[in-house]
Amino acid sequence: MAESLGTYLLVSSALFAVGLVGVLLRRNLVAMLIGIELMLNAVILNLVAFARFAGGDPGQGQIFALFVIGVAAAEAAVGLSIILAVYKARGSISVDRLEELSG
Amino acid sequence: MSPNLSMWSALVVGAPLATFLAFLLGMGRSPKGTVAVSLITASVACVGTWVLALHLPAEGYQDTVIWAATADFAIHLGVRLDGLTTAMGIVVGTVHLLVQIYSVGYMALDPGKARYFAFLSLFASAMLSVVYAADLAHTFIAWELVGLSSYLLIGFWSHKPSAAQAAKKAFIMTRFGDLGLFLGLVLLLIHLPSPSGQPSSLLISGILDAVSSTNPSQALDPLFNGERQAFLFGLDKTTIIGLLLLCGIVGKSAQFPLHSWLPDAMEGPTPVSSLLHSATMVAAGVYLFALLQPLFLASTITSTTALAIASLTAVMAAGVAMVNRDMKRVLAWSSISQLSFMLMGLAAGSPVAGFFHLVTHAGFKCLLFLTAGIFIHMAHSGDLLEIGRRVGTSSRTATLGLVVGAASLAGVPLLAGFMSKEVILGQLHHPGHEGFYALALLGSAMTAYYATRMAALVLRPGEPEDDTDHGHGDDQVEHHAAGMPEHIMGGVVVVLALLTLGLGWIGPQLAQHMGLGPELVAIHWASTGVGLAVGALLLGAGVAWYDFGRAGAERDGFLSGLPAIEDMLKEGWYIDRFWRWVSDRIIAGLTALALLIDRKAIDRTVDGIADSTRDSSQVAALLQTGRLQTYLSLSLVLLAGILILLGWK
Repeated sequence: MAESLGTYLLVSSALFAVGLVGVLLRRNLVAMLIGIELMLNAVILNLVAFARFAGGDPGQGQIFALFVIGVAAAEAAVGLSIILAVYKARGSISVDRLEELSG
Repeated sequence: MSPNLSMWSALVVGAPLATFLAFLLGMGRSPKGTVAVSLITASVACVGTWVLALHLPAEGYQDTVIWAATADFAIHLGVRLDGLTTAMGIVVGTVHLLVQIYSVGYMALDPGKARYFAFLSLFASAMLSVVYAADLAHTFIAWELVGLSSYLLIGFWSHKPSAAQAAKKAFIMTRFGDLGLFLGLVLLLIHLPSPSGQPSSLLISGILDAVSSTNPSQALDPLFNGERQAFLFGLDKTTIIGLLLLCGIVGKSAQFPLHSWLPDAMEGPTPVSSLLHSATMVAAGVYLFALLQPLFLASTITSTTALAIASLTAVMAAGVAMVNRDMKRVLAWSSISQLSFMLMGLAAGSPVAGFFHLVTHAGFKCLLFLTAGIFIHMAHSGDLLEIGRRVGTSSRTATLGLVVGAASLAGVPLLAGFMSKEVILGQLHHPGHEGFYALALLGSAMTAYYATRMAALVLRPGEPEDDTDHGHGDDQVEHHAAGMPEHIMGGVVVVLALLTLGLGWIGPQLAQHMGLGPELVAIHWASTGVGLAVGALLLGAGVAWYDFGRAGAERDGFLSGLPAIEDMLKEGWYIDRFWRWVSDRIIAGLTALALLIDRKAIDRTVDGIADSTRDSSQVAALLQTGRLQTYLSLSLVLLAGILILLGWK
């Protein structure tokens, strides 16, 4: 298969879909966080691919990607500590147990 | 150097008020301290009223600040001094001080002494504020404060149900009249023409200027510089406003048909009755009439209405006083009747007659009440026969007070009551007033009758076997007054008795102080008028002496031969029954109707709104599942929808 923008987009949308399904269907908070990470990676892949194929300076896209990775790391740290706190409070990290805000 | 009149008037009104405020802030924990402070402020106020009167500039004095203003009208607070207001101020200040001193003795053992003196001070402060106010809005505020404080004092012994009832009755009935007064003031504020470029106001000086600037004999609407135009019910504005203001005066001064609260107000401590009847509360109505007399006289309809109400009330109230057996109630009905005389004098057009009578009446009615306080205390009963049996002439000061007061009330020549009443009768003795003059003479004869009856029943008691109707009448045993130091009370009574002997001769000075000629209060001794008045006195007093005073009298009055009339008088002309009927039938019917509307229409609407809000929010709450992933899916769907919509275009 020739190296083209379409290939990258196909891979990244597959990755995004997998992440989305993980977020929407898994009941485990850690699994949901992993799903979010997958979706972020799909976005990063998009950024790099567009930078590579759309012309202009490829470095811009790569710097952008590095920033997103950094932010994703921070997000994982915050997310995991929230999950830890939830576990300490509830003894469980199942999202089914977190529905006090129902109307 | 002349004193600062603004400062003095603020002091006069503020000093008693300060006592009341200090009481509210906790001074009441020390009753003795409260009494002392109260007496000091009362003295300051009394001195202040004299200073204001003695240093009154010839052209009068006015000092106001704007309290509230809009583009259309301004409400002022401030003081306005002229002959009438300063003379009235002296009456209020002096009577208040005397009553306070008397109360030191009368209330010596009452546990609520501090509260009593605080209320009394508030009463005086409010009344002095009515007297000196420059703006009718200010007058109205103080007027209502007078009503409030009399409510508090009438119901002072609130553990007695009758006192609580009487206080409520006084408050509600006067409020009835005040509704008219308020409407009148609003109309006046809206319609009174103001100097161009200035917001309209209720300044008394402005109203008096507006009235006097047009000649009433021209067929003009005097207040409004225009032709008399029908405004409401075919009456012009001046008449309508005058009649509405008259409502407030009728309520405050206890005139027919709003008079029946005054006899019930006897439930309060006796010194309160004394103050209420002589210089404050009821006098406020007459005073307001005197203040705005040109406005009332500007409309024949208004002044004739006032004359008719007053002369009717004079005779009716005197009739009740002729048969009542409770000493304080006799005095109360007598006050109603005497207030009517004042209103008659004012409504008949004399600038000084009615007010002169107010001054002398303040003296002798205060005297009579304070004397009655001593009698009632000694007899432990308010019933005239009981007092006669148990006390009689045993107290010399009380006897002196009763004789001087009753003689003055009856109108014995040369005494205060005669001098001022004669001026009123002289004013009425003109063509066009024949009917009113006849009623006034009849009222005078009846006054002489009940004054003599009261004195005879008390001072010439019958044989003690008269126990057949023991317990009849209102036994007002005022236990709280037991053990009062009598020398204080006796001293005040003697002072007042001497004052009453002299008050009749101050007429010319009073007229001069008010900027009027002494001929207005001159008495033409050789005229038929004096002859008729003395004749009425002799007739009334003679009949009463025959009925009650002479040895072997039957002591039940000639009216007992006419049971129908006597019953009617004892029931106070059935006026109370009439008001009872009004409140039971008409008011209760209106209330039931209002309840029905409230339940069926208003409640249902409000409940419907509440119910539908709750139901719809329950539906909306279904969206809030609390499940994170539902929210995520929903927002995803919405996002997709938005993207599709955007892509569509």
